[in-house]
Amino acid sequence: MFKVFLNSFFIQSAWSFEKMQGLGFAAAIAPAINDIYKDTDRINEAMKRHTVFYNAHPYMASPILGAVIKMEEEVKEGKRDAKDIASFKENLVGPYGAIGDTFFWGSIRPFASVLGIISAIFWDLWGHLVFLVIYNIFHLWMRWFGLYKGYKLGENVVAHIKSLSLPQWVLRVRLITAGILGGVVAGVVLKGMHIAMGQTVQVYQIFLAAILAAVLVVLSAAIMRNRVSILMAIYLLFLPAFIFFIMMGIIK
Amino acid sequence: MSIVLVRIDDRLLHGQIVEAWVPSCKATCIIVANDEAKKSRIQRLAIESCSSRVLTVKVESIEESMKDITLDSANKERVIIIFSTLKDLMQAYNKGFRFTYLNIGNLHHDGKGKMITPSLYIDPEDEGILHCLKDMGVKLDVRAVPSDKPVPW
Amino acid sequence: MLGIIWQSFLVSLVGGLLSLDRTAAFQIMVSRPIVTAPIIGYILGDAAIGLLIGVMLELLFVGGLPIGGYIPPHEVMITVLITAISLMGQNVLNSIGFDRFPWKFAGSDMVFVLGAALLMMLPLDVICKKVDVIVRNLNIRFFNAAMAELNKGGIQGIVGNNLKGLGVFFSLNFITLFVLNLAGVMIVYFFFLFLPVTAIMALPLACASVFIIGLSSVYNTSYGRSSLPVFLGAVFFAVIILTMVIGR
Repeated sequence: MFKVFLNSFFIQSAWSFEKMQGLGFAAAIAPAINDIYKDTDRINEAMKRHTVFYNAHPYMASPILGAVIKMEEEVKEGKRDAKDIASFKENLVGPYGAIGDTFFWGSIRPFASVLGIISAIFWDLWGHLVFLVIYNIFHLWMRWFGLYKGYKLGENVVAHIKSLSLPQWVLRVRLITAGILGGVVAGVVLKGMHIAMGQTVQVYQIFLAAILAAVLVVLSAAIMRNRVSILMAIYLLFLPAFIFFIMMGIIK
Repeated sequence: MSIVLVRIDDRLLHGQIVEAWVPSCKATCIIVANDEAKKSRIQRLAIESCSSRVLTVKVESIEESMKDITLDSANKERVIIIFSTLKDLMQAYNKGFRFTYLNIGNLHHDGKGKMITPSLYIDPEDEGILHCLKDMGVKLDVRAVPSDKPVPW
Repeated sequence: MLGIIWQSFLVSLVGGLLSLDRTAAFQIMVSRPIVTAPIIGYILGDAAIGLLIGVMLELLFVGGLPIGGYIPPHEVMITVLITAISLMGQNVLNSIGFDRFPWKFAGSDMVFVLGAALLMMLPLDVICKKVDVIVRNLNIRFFNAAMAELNKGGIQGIVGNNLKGLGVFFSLNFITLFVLNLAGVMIVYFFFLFLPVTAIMALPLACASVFIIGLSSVYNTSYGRSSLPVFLGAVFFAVIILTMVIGR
């Protein structure tokens, strides 16, 4: 079991366009299959089931791995048809990819990032540690308990995951992130003005700059939602600013 | 209830839909119209795990889904409806489902048939259906996510 | 010159290892800019600037889910390159006694060099993504090799070939980083020698743009029904609290 846990970290090592995580999944489950069947022919037969196309979120693979190991045991005892396993995996790939993407990439990572950034702004070098710790609490929780629950509950792990209502948490975490981001904007403006103007800076200037920054952020966010890629947006903001500053005579 | 997107996708519900189409269509509800998914408890649970306060996800048989979208014409849901194959879509059509715009996302047929894009293969039967739809004035749109360029075919 | 090559080598080595974390293995997120940049900064002798760059790029790359045909920017490689190019570029410029910086920001001319590095981001990203696609195309070989071994009856082939994928990821990323890093430093060098002062003065604007776009991209990932009032309210309160706590 522990080997599977370790191997699950490498699930995307040989990611390819045709099979995606197919090989990674097989490699992750290989030690368990070895233990369950012991007999070479049956091992090979089982491994062939797992070297097919597979692609979900790398962390969400853990509950699936757990459940599949349980199901393989049931297959060995003759309580289950091997076809179930293939269809189980196939059915879960799509929804769990979606949940994992929105939950981990789309909400926990930004959340940990803004916390890391805000601590970097105020407490210097601790930012990356804050980020890593907060993020990995969630990450390792899913990897380990996902695998454990999957193994314990078998295919019913699906009901367990549903009861966690991760999409609901996405909404909450995103709202908190937006709030902390406000703090980041204020912090960046304040720090920047302190460095640029020193102690001569007035409170009203900080307010004006913060409001200007917030408005710019909301506006460019609205533009970016309309399919402008992040890197293009930088140039789109940079060039007008450049021209504006030349016209204002700030840059000669 | 208004239908904002009709999609063909043999992977049913996945990231492209939840992360890309839902925000771009401002959808509040996804109906997965698929008889097999409805029958399989596990698959239904997995798909419905994606629902939240702002997005309802329902797995229904094709027949139920047709009742659903015609009955609640009063509520304000913006619906994305997903079929797994063109055949399922035609089954719905024969039950009275009408639409003017069809997005085709993924259709693999295990790599058999004519390849249009790496994620779209069509067999002769599909081709017939697509021509038929085109003749009826349905706008066909082949792309995985809204930010892709539509593939002409 | 030898120093630069040695530094590039070190940076690419560490960068190549960190880049594995992005998709290939672990994914404990040491591949995020906020972690990568201070590490690269530390190697080059300035972790604090590294962290600053890390914060800027972290904001920028918070969003970007790989959905459908969309491939998000290759954030690790870009971070390694930008951090290394700006720090090494600054050293090179200092060592030849370059003095055309119009003014200094926080006692350093980092904003200019960093600005130049940031403007190179798009072409760098295009190259890094290309390399990523090449690696992924190579990986199908390992799949086929693993299948062949499985047919011969060896389960070991599966795990081994999976790890070979890791090796390819590392070696190609390492080489790319090494080459692009040296090229970047050269570009910075010639850029500052030959460009008019007007262009040099514009470079801090690039840093500011990256900050603003970064903040917007985070805002977009947390975009939801009530994120606008929450965000604006938080800016307002944070300014009040910060000015009260820290003073002006």
